[in-house]
Amino acid sequence: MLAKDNKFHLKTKHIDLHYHFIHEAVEEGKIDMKYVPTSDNVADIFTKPLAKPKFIQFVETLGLRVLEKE
Amino acid sequence: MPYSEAIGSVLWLVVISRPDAVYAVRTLSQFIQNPGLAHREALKHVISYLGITKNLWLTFGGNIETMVKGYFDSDWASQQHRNLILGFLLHFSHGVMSWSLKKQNVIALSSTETEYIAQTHVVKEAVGYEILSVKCKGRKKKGSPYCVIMKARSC
Repeated sequence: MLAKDNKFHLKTKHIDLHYHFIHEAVEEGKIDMKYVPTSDNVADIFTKPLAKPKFIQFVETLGLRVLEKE
Repeated sequence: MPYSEAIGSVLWLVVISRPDAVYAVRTLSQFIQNPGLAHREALKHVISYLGITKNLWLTFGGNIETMVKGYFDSDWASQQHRNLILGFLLHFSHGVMSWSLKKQNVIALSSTETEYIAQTHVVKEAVGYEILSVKCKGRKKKGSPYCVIMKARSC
């Protein structure tokens, strides 16, 4: 929301100017924003305990793979 | 088993190559001052998990993707201290290249605000990888984005 438009929103008044850094990066065309469904957000592995199937799925996404020693 | 030394050694592992255990180690490392029995038991579990899965290697490659992908998540006041916890990672070509988990010394007023704070951290990290993406021809032309931040909510 704030990343793409910088209109005044009543409910985001208190959000610090510092965080409008994101808005700047988007405007300069360096960064793009995309929506990802919660079920595919790999960063969940860092903030909440996950059930086994999801944990395994995310471990693979992170690039952690089993490599046998030769 | 001396608790703080054990935490120290697993902390090294999760910073170097095992992002999958970051959450557990970070949680346990908050109790270094005065660990209880439950924390020691949990730490033993973490160590045995790391031992069993020692064949997991941090890898890159496969189909080459040239865009850097950033993921982040924030945790708002779920714990007693009510501080904000944020985690993010940068993903490049089927492997994670940078990750971080932080407890911030701020108490956010809304979950939207926590998302912005977390997003700022991932963008800060991502701008540092501009050169990498130029070398890997990730940027089609100057002024086009080289990094996609994936956000779980439309904020």
